[in-house]
Amino acid sequence: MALALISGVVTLMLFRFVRPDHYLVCRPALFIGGVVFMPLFVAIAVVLQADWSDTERARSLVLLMVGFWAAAAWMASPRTQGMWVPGLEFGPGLNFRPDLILPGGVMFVKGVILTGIGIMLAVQETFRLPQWNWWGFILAFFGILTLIPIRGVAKMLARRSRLLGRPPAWQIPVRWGLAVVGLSLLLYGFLAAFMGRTPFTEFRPVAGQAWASAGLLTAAALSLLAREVWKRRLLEGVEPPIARFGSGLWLYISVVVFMYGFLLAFMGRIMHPHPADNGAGLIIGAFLFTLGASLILVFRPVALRNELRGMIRVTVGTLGAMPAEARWKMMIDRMRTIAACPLPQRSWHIQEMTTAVAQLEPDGAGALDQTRSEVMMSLTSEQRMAMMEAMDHLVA
Amino acid sequence: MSRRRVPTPVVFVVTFLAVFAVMVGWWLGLQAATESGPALTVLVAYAAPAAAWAVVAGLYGMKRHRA
Repeated sequence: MALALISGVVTLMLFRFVRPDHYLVCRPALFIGGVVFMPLFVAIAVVLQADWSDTERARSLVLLMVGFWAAAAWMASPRTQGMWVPGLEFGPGLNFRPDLILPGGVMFVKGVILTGIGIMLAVQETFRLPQWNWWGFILAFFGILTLIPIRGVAKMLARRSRLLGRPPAWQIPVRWGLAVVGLSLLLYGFLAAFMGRTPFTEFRPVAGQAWASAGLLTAAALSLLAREVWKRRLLEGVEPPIARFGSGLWLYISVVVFMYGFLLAFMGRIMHPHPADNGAGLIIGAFLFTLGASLILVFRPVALRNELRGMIRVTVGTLGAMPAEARWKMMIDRMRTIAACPLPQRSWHIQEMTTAVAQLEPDGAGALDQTRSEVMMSLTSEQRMAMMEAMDHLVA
Repeated sequence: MSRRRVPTPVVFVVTFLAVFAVMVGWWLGLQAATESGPALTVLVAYAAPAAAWAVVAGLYGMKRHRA
């Protein structure tokens, strides 16, 4: 069943919905590689169940985890997102583009998994590798589906609405809710899997540290909500590096607290490293923890910025292919939104759209240029001045 | 959507079954490789996705080149 679920997702991500010569334009090679290496967890499961010595299994696990990490890290490259191609529209201005969702989502999920395994290995009294249970993995898989495609599409829809000046009221509660639900499924599933027990029937919370666990889980969930509210203050596209790193760190700390809350709930006791008795677990655990942290703190902010750029690029392409009336309506919303932005953000968005127009075929670019001129005449004088100011700022 | 002689949903299901078959074959290969030891198992773990990557990217790279 697990293999069928994985196969379904891989098929959906890589299926050719467009002409063969357009395939690599919208599914770049780095994206394809990131998808085909996602099932590496099947190999990790086989290794964890292999009849080998602990040393052999530990070594193989680390080798596979490095590949597991690398296949997410390389998706931080801007070459992971493709260009616009026709044939992927499923609604007005909406395109089926997993390359605009997958990198950030995969880095988050893999970062959580690596961090979780690292913590588990580090806090045991003696060195013991994780076990495996396929039902646990299937539960975790639904967490992965919640965090990557479902939350990813919700974020993309919200982003599209923001780009058109209509920030949806549902974006904060939905993003937060999906994060908490997805994390819960992911952590419960993988914890059960690594303990070698079936969730709900064999592996359930214990009473030992119920209040501490509930407190940590609640605090982490509220922290994630506070972060979602705080992010509204950031200027999308031109967030300073310190804010992007700070946002990632806030997310990571909240996730680690959430993770420890889960450990307490299911282990029923305070767990901490035992360097004297479990040196190997501490070293391997720290290494995997570092890999997980690097994905969420370093690579993911880069990937999210690339996804935003990619979305603007695809939106521009979609505009060029739309009927004239629909293009006019969407473009005037877009330009009014840009005109209302602070100058640095305004300039950035204009620059990204200009770059995207330059990459279009002549027909699409010509249609866009014409509509843009008409829309500029329809703006108020203040809006037009704001757009001219931003263009001068770019040239200066 | 690109125009196909066979309807897209049919092609999608056939593709899914092919991917599933490859996935099962890989899993069985991994199980068999564990009998030989960790080195072969890790090699099979990486070689199969790498081969799939090369096939997909190479196939569509050729089609793009010919277009």
